[in-house]
Amino acid sequence: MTDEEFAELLLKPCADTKDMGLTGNQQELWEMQDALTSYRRDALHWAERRSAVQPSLSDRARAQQRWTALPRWALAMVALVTIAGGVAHLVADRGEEPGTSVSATLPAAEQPAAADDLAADNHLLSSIDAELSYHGGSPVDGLRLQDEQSAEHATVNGATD
Amino acid sequence: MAYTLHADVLKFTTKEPTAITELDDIDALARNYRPRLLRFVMASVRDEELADTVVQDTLLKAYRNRAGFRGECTINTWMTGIAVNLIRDHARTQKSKFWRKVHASAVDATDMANHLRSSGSSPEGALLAREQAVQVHQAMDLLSPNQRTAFLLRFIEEMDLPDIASAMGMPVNTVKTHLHRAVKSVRARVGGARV
Repeated sequence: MTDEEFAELLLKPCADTKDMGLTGNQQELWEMQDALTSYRRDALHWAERRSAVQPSLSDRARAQQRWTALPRWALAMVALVTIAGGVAHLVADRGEEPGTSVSATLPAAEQPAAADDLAADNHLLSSIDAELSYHGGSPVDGLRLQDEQSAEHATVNGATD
Repeated sequence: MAYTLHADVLKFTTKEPTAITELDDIDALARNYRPRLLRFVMASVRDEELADTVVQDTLLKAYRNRAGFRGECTINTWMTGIAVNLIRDHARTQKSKFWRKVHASAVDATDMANHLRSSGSSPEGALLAREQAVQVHQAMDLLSPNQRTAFLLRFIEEMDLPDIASAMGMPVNTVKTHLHRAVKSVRARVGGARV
């Protein structure tokens, strides 16, 4: 009997192989089956006896659950606080006017100086604007070029006449 | 209009609550599965304290991860798979290497081996079987970890090949190869002692 055949037959119940009328290695097969049955039973008997005196696992399981639950709660709390902080900041930003929010970020001592600068800039811009605005006359009028030109024209006409 | 209900659906609905109830009670788990697990782990690692630790860790891990049990196999197969992985983890540690060194040079004098040698009084036929049981126990010492696990799960725990493959995390054909090599080795050892 090959090892493969032996292994296959070893898996069958003892009674089945005894009814199969095996020849050759049947004695070896039955002995091995009996040995395995005996091992199975005696080893289980030993394990049952040893298990009976083992302490309960419920305390350890509870303690383990507490230890695994603690970091989970801590992480959840950190996440919650972070999200709440973010949302509060967002809501505060949306509630304010854009101009106010800019001025709110400036230090209080710098605010009057900024207002003075703004007024000075406005004054400068309005004076430039006034200078550039057109009042009717041409800038060339200031040079009196036209009067001189007409005087010259009259002199030339008189000479020709 | 008549509706027929598939038998598997009925099986599923009746099996699931029992499994969930059993997994929710760590003491019930220990009561129902500890002895079988201890037998398997002890035969694998051959160290009583280490076996106790591995079995305890298996039960706690099964209880902690009970939500992950989908009922695709029996609780016994699922927990055996956890035990197989924990034994592999322990085998990688320095402590286990130390133990293997000690064990290699010592006669198997564990409580379990002693129990196998002298468990009560019995008729002549059973006495011979017990002697051979001790030989099987010693023959398993010579097997590789995978061969020993496959042999124990098949012939001692009486699990099916697909369940063994699932517990060991390898294909069925690989399990068959380990199993045949293990049988050959054990047969040579036990048969040799007999002749």
